[in-house]
Amino acid sequence: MLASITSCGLSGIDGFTVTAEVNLANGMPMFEIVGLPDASVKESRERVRAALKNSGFSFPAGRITVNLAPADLKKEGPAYDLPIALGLLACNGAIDPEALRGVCVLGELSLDGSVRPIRGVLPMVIHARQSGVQAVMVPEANLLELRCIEGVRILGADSLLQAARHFRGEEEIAPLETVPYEQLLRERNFSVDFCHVKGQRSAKRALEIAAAGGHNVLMIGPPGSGKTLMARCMPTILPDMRFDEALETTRIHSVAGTVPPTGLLTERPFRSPHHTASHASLVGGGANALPGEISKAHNGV
Amino acid sequence: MNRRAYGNAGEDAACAYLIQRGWTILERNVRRGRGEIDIVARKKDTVAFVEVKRRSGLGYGRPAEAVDREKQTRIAHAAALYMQENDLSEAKIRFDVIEILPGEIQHIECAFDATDLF
Repeated sequence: MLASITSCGLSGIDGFTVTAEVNLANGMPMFEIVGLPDASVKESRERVRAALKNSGFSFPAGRITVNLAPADLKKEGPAYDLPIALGLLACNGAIDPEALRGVCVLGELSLDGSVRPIRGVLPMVIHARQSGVQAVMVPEANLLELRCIEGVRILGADSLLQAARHFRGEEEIAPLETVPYEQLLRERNFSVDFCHVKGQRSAKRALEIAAAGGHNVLMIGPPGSGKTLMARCMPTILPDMRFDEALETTRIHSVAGTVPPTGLLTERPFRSPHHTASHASLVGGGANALPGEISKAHNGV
Repeated sequence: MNRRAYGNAGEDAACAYLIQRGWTILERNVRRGRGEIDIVARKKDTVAFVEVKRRSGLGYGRPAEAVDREKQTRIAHAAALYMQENDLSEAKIRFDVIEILPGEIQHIECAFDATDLF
């Protein structure tokens, strides 16, 4: 029995489509994952096995081969747990494979069968929307990040059982209701403000001019004179980010795993790297390129 | 009773247990290469390779714990050869362990698989 499920991978801050093909055959029982998986994808076998059993499903005995296509791109992270588990259920006959068609599935599984949040959902969902899927299934804990995404049905799953019941048509998951970006802008409240700064009239005036004209600022002063506080206040007087700017900034933070609990970034980010920060932490990069401090300050201070 | 006889008696008990549950015993003590399979049993289209472990107490851990990676590898290798000889490569295959303790018999179905054992 063969089932194939659409999922998504990350390359930099862009998503790419991954098809998880799950084949269940007779013969020597084993469970193999191929398609350039890294260690965290290989370990998915144990999570999937335990999650299926603890959700009340049986783990199929037989020769199980999972192929993550395209086979020449590296797959990393635990986001393929949920698609692999659903694929096994489809092979087993517990889910109709047709029900999984046109749905992009993402999610890490916990041993008890609950779905845990993953890194980088925003770029992956944006990619899935462009590639023309009808719906995406993501961890429920990641939904806040996706509140403003329109044009694709977003389904939040908090357990494997809930996801399986959805695809069996027993209990449909209601798609996420989108919230207009303007509403998020109205709801935010800044933790710091220029009203917290007493005096420093000329410094404040200089910062106003810099914010209006988009200039660089070098602040010099003795410790405790309020340089950092005033820098922290900068995002509050900068113009609001446009929706596409907010999306782009959140994308970077989504990949870095630093999205605030409120979801989509509506406030411009403020970064204050330590003066001894290493080259790598500032610039980011590496074999599986992660954003550094400079990227995290994109559109911010 | 010596150790071998003690173990063999356990295998007899395991066979009786399987037969009672509708299995057919195909072969016992199958030696292939460096491995030995205690019982090969069939039920409908499923073939199970069963390892039997008998202990008189829990002083050295559960009997099934003794079926470690090394033992699993030997069983899997022997099973692969047995499957080849008997044209079982398309059958539903299972590796089971039966633990026998005084007054207790426990059947662990699909106790392990051959992932990473070859």
